[in-house]
Amino acid sequence: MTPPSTPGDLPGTPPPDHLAATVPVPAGAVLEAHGVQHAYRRTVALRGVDLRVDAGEVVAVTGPSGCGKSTLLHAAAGLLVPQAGTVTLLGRDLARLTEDERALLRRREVGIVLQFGQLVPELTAVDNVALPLLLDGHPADGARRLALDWLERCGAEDVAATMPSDMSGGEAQRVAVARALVTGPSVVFADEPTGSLDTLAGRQVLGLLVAAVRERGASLVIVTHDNTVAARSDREVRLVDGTVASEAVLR
Amino acid sequence: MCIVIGMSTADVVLALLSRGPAHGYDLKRGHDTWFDQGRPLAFGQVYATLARLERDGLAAVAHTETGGGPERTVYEITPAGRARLAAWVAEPAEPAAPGADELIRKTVAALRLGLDPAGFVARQRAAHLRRMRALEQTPATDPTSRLVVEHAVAHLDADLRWLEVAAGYVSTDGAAAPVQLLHHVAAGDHSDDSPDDQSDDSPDDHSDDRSRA
Repeated sequence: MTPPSTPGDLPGTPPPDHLAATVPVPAGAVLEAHGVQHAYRRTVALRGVDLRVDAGEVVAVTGPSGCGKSTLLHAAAGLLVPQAGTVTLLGRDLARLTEDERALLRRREVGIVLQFGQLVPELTAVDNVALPLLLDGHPADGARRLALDWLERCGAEDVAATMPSDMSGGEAQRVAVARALVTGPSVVFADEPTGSLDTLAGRQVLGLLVAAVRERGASLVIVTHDNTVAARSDREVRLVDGTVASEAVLR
Repeated sequence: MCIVIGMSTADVVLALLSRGPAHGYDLKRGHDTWFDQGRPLAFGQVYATLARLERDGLAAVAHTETGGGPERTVYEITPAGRARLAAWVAEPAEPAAPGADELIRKTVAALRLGLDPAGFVARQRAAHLRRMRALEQTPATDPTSRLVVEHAVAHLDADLRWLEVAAGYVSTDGAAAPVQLLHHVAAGDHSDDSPDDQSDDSPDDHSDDRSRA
């Protein structure tokens, strides 16, 4: 059953008890997924996957193409509701939230970086980064200042006034990282964040993302097929054909 | 931790000497700076190498220093030494010979004998990733030491990719079916190469609400 939306879901209001479906989580876990199953029309992507991520942990989800790793990340981030299993993110059972409530949770407490940045093409870099804050009703001045600050930290201040179509892939990913971090999320999800970049640019963006997340003590779930990316994590969860094939603590 | 293995010490000493006259200790320090992830060069090896280079006419004694401490012999590179150095650098390095590696021996044995092959691959993978992680955290003291680290990382990465492929290729002795390790486990008859894989790694149905989330 989906609990009804409350007025707290409207943009511009502070996040109080707006997300009703709170369940107890083990101390330290920011994400707990149990028995997650999901199939697309002709392909089974996930065959019952468990995934737990602790506060401050950097977890790499790896595996060959088609192993289900992206689907798992989308389910964990509330971008997709799996057909079976439960996902508890920051104490909320995602299946019991409405789509709006999930969107609000993502915007306020979660950062997401995808392979191609997924910037809004009609907005400059600074407006892209400020967008989550503006959607939440923050005053434009303050939002832009904070956005500029994050662009600077991500080494993308030079493109602050640039439109996404005029950016290099590396610049766009730096902007995407800034946008994911501007709200101060406690967990960041990244799906092949360096997949579209050459080796050097990819390493720089990845280094930036991991450093920023670690500095904040946030958690990071990063989906990758790149071993050198996985090697930056504290723990690798390897998926093969929709199930967890192995786990390795690297720390 | 020894990353640089099988390197020709004589060629490296020659390379270091080409920067200008130097005595044994200078050369040892130079070597250890260039290859700071590798095994330090032993003094005995420096002097033995210098003696060999001198014998072969590739290096010569420039002069001896006697200021205060013990006498030190300063060596310099000869024209023949410079020619040899140029030829050494110009010649591509022999790619690592296959089949002589402990990783390969173990993998082949584990997979052919069916000795918990999945566990073997998982443990080997973890060991490689841990090493890679440690290397990534090595502070870069200077650009060339970073290059040596990058080389080691690239090799570990190549091993990991090979391990994945090997697991799919090697058959268990006496068994008809290949060891099914990484693909097709419990896959039934669904093809791993079906176009629906696309929908897994990039479920585009959701891209819109992501960017505006």
